[in-house]
Amino acid sequence: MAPSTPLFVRSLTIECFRGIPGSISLDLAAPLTILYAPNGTGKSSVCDAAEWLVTGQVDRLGVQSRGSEETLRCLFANRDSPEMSVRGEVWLGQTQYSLERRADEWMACLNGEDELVRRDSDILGLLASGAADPDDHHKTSIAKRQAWLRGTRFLSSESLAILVDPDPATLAIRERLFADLLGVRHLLDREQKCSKYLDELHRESRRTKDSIDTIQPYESDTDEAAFDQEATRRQVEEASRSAFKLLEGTDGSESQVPGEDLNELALQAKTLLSSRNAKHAARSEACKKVELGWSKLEDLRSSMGEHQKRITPLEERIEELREKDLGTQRTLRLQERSRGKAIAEVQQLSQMARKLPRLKKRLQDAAVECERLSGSRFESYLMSDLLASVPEASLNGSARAQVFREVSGFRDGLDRHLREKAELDEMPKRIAVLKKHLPTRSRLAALQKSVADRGKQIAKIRGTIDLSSDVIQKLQRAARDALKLLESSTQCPVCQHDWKSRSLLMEQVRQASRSMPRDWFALQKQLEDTEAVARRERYDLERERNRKEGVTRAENRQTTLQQRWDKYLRDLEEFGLDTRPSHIRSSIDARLASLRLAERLAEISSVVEEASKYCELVKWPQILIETIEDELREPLENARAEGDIRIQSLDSALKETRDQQKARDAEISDREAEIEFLRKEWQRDQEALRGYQDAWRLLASEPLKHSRQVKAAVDSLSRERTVLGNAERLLDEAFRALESLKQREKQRQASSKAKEQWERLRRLEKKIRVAEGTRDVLAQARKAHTQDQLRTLWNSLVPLFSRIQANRVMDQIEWSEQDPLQWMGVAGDVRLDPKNHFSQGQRQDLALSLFLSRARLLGGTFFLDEPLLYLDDLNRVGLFDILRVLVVEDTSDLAMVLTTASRALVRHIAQKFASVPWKTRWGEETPPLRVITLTGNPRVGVSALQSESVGLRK
Amino acid sequence: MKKAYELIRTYSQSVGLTEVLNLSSHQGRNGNSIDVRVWQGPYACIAATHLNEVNPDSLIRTWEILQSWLDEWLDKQESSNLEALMDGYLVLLLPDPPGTQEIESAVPYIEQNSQTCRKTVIWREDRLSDEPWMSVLRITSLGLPASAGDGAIVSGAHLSRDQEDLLAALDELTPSALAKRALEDK
Repeated sequence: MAPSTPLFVRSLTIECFRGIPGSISLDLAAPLTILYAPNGTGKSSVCDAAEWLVTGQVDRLGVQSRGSEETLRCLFANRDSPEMSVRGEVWLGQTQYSLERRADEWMACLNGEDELVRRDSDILGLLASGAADPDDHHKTSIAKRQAWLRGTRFLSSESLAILVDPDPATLAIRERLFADLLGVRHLLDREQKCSKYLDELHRESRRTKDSIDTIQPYESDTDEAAFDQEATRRQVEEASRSAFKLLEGTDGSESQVPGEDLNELALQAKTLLSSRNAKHAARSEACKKVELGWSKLEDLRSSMGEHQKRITPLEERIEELREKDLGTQRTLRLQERSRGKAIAEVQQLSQMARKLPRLKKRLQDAAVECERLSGSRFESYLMSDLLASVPEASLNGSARAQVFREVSGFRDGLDRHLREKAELDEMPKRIAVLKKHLPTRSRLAALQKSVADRGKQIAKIRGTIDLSSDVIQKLQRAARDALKLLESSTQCPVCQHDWKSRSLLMEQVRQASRSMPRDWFALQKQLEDTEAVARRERYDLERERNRKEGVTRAENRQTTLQQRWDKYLRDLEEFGLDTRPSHIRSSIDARLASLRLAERLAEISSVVEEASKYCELVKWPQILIETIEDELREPLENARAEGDIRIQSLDSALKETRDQQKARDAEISDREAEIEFLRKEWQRDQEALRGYQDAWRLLASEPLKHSRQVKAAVDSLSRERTVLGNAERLLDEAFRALESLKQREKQRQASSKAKEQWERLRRLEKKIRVAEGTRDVLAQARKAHTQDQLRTLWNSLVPLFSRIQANRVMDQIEWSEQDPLQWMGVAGDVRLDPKNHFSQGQRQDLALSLFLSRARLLGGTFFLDEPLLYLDDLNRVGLFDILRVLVVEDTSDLAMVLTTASRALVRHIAQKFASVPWKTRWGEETPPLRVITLTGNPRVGVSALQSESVGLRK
Repeated sequence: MKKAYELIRTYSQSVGLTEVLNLSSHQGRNGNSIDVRVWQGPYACIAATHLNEVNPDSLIRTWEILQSWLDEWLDKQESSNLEALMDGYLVLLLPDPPGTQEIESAVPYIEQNSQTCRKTVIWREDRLSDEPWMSVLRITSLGLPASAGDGAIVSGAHLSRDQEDLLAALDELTPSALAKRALEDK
């Protein structure tokens, strides 16, 4: 234990730190300084800056001494801004220091003198000399001093928020916070580290023990004295080599001499044995097969011959059946054809019978037509009379068609000549009309001249347009250039005329550039109009020329038509025909009607001739039209009945033939199946025979001729089996010896590993003892120091807690001797556990009481970030009273820095301090309360706007 | 009761308050009389009285009389002191802890009344500490008793060399990393 010296931070200058982008300076000399600012203005940044300056850490942000700039430098600070730094005027007792901290550098010096110390350990030693023992490792002493300074001088809003957090997960953090407040955090942290370390060691110890337990069974089997390693090795070698000799003898081949490695030797011998065994097994199997097959071999061969003999007649029978089948198929085709023919005849007869009534009617119509054409009346309608009355009926079909084509052609020629004659008759009128509209020579000349003039006019306009386009392009380019260049000149760049005014010049240029295209478009329009007129004139000239040619063409046409008509008439006269067109047309029509009637009579005659194939018409064509139906009907009916009978007989013959064919097909299938069966049998026998032969080839090179060979092979295999059995026994013996050698090696290794594990376990247990001892010492020290602290602070702690507790639930608090961090609230006869029964506010009240009672004892500067946030109104008033008491008390020498975002609270506390007298500190008059207002934000900059001194100045 | 007044006097002095009035049998508006003692400084004024016999009615009535009196007193003090604000504290001393539910209910009723000044009801409590009137220190404007120690800093524990080495190693490495290293140590 060493006495502490009060540490005052009289002023702070902060640059580019956290939420402060620029630089602010704060006077913290007053006993109570309130930093008022809205949220996000940098209040907590001031507390963080102070913590960083004094301890080199910002605990709530997890920032350690080195490499802190990335986290701590203000994100809104300009790149050109100065380096992040915090400077402070610090008093340790009566000695003043200037302390400065930059990103990775720390410097402290006596005020106004040269640099004093730079190392972290030295500066922390200066600020909290008694917080570490002189013998401590320098890192340990740094950690201890940092924890002490942080825990006793800084109470962050996060810490207070954790105290009001009901989540059980924060229990450990609450415990650390109270340890901080009591100054035993470094002990608690180390104790917890020791506990974790011990857990790890115990886990490793358990693993090591498990490993030893696994090794021990091997160890216990060890019988060092009873085992003769050399003899065992010899046993392996001899047995393996003997096996080799035996096995080599079996096949007569020379084996490679194995090396000295016993395992390799034994394995080679075993591989050789396996190979021999496999070969022997294959040959034994083959031998059994040959023994079995030998007796059946002859039967098999004869059976195969028998199969072949049976197949040949079957194949011959099939061939015979197929030939017969071909004949049957031919017969079937003939029968089917006859049947088709009979059916067609019957159908034709039926059709004829149906046609008979119509035939009679058609004949009667033909008779009437004959009478009309001949102009005579028949007495009776004999078919011969009809045929005689139509001369064309004597012609055959093709001659009739030829005559019909000729007469039709003649009629078409007549029609054409008559149309031309009509046109010829119209021609004089038409020519007269054309001639009436013929142009005069002068008009044609005028038209020709006008067309020529219009062409010249168009060419001229086109030339002007081409010329204008070029000029316009040049002018527009010049105007653009002029508009760019004529910034100050008043002279035209084309004609050099001075317009005296730049705006006038520009206007002229613009007008020129606008007017030229307008003219150009007018020319284009003129050209289009002129071209349209020229087209119209050319059309007129062409039309007038065409009229003249039209008269000529019409006159030529008239001449041609007249010549044709005259020739036609001459031709008619030459053939002796009447030249009158009406007479010619009636003659042609009569001839055509006669031809059509002859055609009809020919059709009727062909029907009758067809029918006469089935019945005899003796009198044809001397037959009356009325009786022709009756004479034909009966013979046709009879012929149809005969046809039906013929079809029926053909159907029965067909059925019989098809049955025969089916029977033959069935027999062929049966025979083929039989052949297939025999062939399969033959193949099976063939395969069996091949199997026996293959098996025998395994046993002997010469072909198998008699049973003695089989017996010799069986004996040879039996002898070989005996040799292989002996080799196998030898190798079993070798491997047993080899296994005992390996087991011995494994035991030796296990023993070595077990020794190693035991050694490790011993080391672990030693470390566990040290760690347990350390943990126990730390725990004892923590308890002892906590009790010391509480005893020291108790007198002021209890009243402070009861004062903040305006709503009196607990009469006071008491602490446990067993676990000093386990405090209890006393409420009558009831004890309240802070972890479970304290309200969130009560836990915070307890923390504040502890912090303030320690502050009162230590003296110096203390930072409380938003301590009023979670207090109710009366408790806040109680805390204000406490703060005033701490300031006013003669015994206290404190400088407390509080932050708040509430203007109402600032006003209230200012009222509380309004009548408190000023104090003298460091030889200067100091107000009891100073209110510093921060404004702005990190983006626009933060500044300490007002510094208001509150108190009663004498 | 005398001891209670003595404690108030002692801890008032430590914050610059001095006794300015010791008025016996002040006559209230309703004819009841009480004793009043006042400690005052430039910023605060403590008015204390005691009750010899406690029941809810007498407790409430005494509070009301003293409240009324203190209001007038504070007005007068602030007027004469150039309108400087002065906090008032009203203290009611009871001879025994509240014996009935009614009195227990009356105490928070009085203490949590936020009109004009802060009220504190204190009684003799033999169970909690050697000093039965220690709860006088609940009056928020009184000074605090001195702490028992001298502000000495807590240092570490007394450790052997092995233990110190272990802690130094734990400062360097995490517990699991150190445990792994322990396995490799020969």
